[in-house]
Amino acid sequence: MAGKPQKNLAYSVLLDFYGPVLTDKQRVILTEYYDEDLSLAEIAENLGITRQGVRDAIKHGEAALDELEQKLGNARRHTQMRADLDRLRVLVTEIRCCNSGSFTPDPRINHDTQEMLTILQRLDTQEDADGL
Amino acid sequence: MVKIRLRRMGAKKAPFYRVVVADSRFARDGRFIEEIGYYDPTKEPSVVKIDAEKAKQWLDNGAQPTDTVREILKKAAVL
Repeated sequence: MAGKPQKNLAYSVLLDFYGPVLTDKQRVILTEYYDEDLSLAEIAENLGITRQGVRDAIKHGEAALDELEQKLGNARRHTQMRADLDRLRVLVTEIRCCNSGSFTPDPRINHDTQEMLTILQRLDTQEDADGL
Repeated sequence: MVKIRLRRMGAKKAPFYRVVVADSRFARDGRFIEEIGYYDPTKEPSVVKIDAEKAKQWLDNGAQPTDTVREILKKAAVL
């Protein structure tokens, strides 16, 4: 069974990164298509344009998003950074637990790992806020 | 027509979707009738949580899932 092509929700994330670079029309249509899960016909009716017009805007918008990601790689980098930060947080927490569970917990380790967690938290917030 | 569709929630760059039942006449303004589950594609593997009973009830009553929701309902073994 061939099946209809599915919506690729990854475009929803690319839209977060590169939405401001698209035309207003492309951005509105892609947002309704991916974030609101509307059909081509529903978007066409909302905007008073043809279904074909909606389809074209989506195709062009997706192509633009693909090209931007290929050249800039912000989404890919963000995902990698997010995974690395999560892993670091796990490792630091492990060290804290090992230390506090030992017979002679080292107050410096406790202090330093606490600071590491604070920095990780800050990097997390920045990673979310950064963008275009 | 009553439709079952996804609605994106969650922060920028961290999508999270509600599965909602909504009247297609109000496709634009975000009104919905009921939330029947959620879908989180950021987790590995992605997390799907559906109130199967409600979903079946709406489907039996003629609610139309979007293609995306249809896939998710299949994943959750509701369809």
